[in-house]
Amino acid sequence: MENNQSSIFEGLSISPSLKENMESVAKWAKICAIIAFITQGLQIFTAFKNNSILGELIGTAITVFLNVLLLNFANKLSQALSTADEGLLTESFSNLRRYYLITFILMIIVTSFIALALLIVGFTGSIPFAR
Amino acid sequence: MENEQSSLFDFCIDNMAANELNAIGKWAKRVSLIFGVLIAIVVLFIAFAGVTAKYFLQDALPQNVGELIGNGSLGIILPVVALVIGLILMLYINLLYKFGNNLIKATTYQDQNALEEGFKSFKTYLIVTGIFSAIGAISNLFTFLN
Repeated sequence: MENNQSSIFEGLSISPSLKENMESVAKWAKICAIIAFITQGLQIFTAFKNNSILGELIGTAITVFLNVLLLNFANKLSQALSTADEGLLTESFSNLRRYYLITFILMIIVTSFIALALLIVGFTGSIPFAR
Repeated sequence: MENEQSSLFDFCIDNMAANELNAIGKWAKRVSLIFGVLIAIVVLFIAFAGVTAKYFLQDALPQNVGELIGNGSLGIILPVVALVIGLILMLYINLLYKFGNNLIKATTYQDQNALEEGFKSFKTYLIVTGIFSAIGAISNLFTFLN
């Protein structure tokens, strides 16, 4: 515990202006997560209407999981700022770190698929013009 | 007021939180870079393979719009629109890059200004994300209702 206390970063603190920005970040992160939940709900209903619910479920699971992390980050950041709780602040940042880690993995997968698809479209699409 | 000011300054970012912030910075930077690559791939594809895109859009879009593309009047506009959208998205993703970069700088050099700048960029990034998400939600609502 003593070691922990002594290793506190002396240079970084939550100044009033940083607190104000962090509060805005928490508010907007919450708004983004809630909008994402609503969008996902609408997509589920649309898929249900079009009988394509199975394909939508995987996307929904990933989106919901990601936005739960974002919502946790926002809620814990608000609590940490109002109670000046360093533990909650760390937990809040931990949620955001996981959010970006998973987003990065998903982005790699999506970018690979898009690059592959564009290559295929590029090759097959150029065939009629080559004739 | 004085008490409030002093208690706010007492709320420090400890070692564990600083490590988390550093990791967030690294991952946010990587996400922004891969997103930038994705935008560049799509924009370059549309810009240089405009003829191919035109060929596909002619069939995909309603007949009158498809004919316009076939005539060539929209064939030039398509890469320009793609470039403009790509540029807007690049500016948007630059905010996330700045956030990541500033967090790394703040935690490495214990730079308070970089931390503040980083969270300012992140706030703007989230506001823009919120607006984009709201537009997406509205378009989903229209899809659901039709």
